[in-house]
Amino acid sequence: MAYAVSLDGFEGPLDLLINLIQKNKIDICDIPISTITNQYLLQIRTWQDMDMDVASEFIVMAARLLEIKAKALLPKNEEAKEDEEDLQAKLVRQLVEYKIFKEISYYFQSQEQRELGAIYRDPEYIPQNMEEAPLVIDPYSLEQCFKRLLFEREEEIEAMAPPQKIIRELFSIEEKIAEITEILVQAGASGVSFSELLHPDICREEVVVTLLSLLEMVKTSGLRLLQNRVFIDFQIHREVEKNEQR
Amino acid sequence: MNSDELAGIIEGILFGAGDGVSMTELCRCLDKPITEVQFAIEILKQDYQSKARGIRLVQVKDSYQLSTKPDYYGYIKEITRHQEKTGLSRAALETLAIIAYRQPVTRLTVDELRGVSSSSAIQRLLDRGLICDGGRLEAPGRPILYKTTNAFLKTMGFTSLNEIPEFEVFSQGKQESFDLELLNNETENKGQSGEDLLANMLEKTMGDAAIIEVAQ
Repeated sequence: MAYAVSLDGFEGPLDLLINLIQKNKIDICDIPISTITNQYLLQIRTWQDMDMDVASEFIVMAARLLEIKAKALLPKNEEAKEDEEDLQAKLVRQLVEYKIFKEISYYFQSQEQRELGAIYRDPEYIPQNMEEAPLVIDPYSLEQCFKRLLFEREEEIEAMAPPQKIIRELFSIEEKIAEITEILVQAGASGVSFSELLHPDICREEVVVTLLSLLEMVKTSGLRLLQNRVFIDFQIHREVEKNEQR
Repeated sequence: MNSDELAGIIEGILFGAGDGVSMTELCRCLDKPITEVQFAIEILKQDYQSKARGIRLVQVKDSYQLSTKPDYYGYIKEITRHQEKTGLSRAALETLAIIAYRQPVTRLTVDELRGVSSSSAIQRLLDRGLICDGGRLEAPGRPILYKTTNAFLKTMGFTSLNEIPEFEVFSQGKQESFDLELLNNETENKGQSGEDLLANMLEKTMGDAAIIEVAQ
């Protein structure tokens, strides 16, 4: 429902019920359910007679009231009695709670009405002093500045251009994983250190691929990495138990 | 620079800024410790209590702003010819009441408590900036949790959420026994003149300042 439906100034079925309870001057915790149900239905019928669409929430509440009333009329065993009390207790709880929030809303309204009388001042518009840089401009420095901008822009454009040569990947993670696995199998229980995996004339790319491969292996095939303290070489072991399981 | 002068400068700053100015900003531009600034603000506040002043100091959380006194609105509107300001609708007020006391809360809870759909009321409150998204409930559909904003505090004339009357104030007894006047008087009594009061405020201020300093 996109807009609030308010019939005769009632915010909803709970509002209408509270109104009926107050009109009958009865205690909210001790509602004579049959009287209230009759009055509630009467109200809804009045609206329907006036050809007004009654919001579904009001109908739902009517059904709830009728259910409680029906259960109260039926001859009952112990179980059904509890059931009926539950339904009514739930409704009472809801009514009590709603009534409190309604009161709070009146309090908020009185606060709001008071505060509506306060007028705040808009800040006067004064252009802000952004930066206090002395402006010394001569044609020469302007030219320099313009050239520099053009040059920078050119570099930028070059950087943005697609690469002309596509370099083949020299090292793949899959290959590296196979390689490391082989080294580890040969090394057996003692394992290998990270530095042992890096041969002397290794290039930066291969170091990166080696590290990525190790991380991948830790995730997937249960490697154990041991390091005694930070920033030193570390030892790589295979998880032996897992290996045996395979 | 004595406290009176400091109070004068703060008044100037607040008038000039128009918008709210935070305590941190005040301390920075005045280059004074928080206790001194708060003391000066108390002097200013007390000065404004006088019927001879048409301006008051509004505090929301730790932000300060000047506004005209609501009591004098009747006269002011004769000159400004503002269009009559309208308040919130009943549906919006009920929704706001539930969100204020149950926050953070989902739309579904509001619907259940009111017994009607509240989505349009919530939308209006969001539009007016009185409530905002306060995260998600870890439940199926991850519904939005709503909470009140500083604009809510300002609209209702509260300094902080702690200033809102306890829920029990409303739940105890019947509607008749709930006295709005009493509540309003309570807030006004805070502004009685007298040196005792200033001393009390200073004490309270010092306490607050200590808390703020620890927090920083």
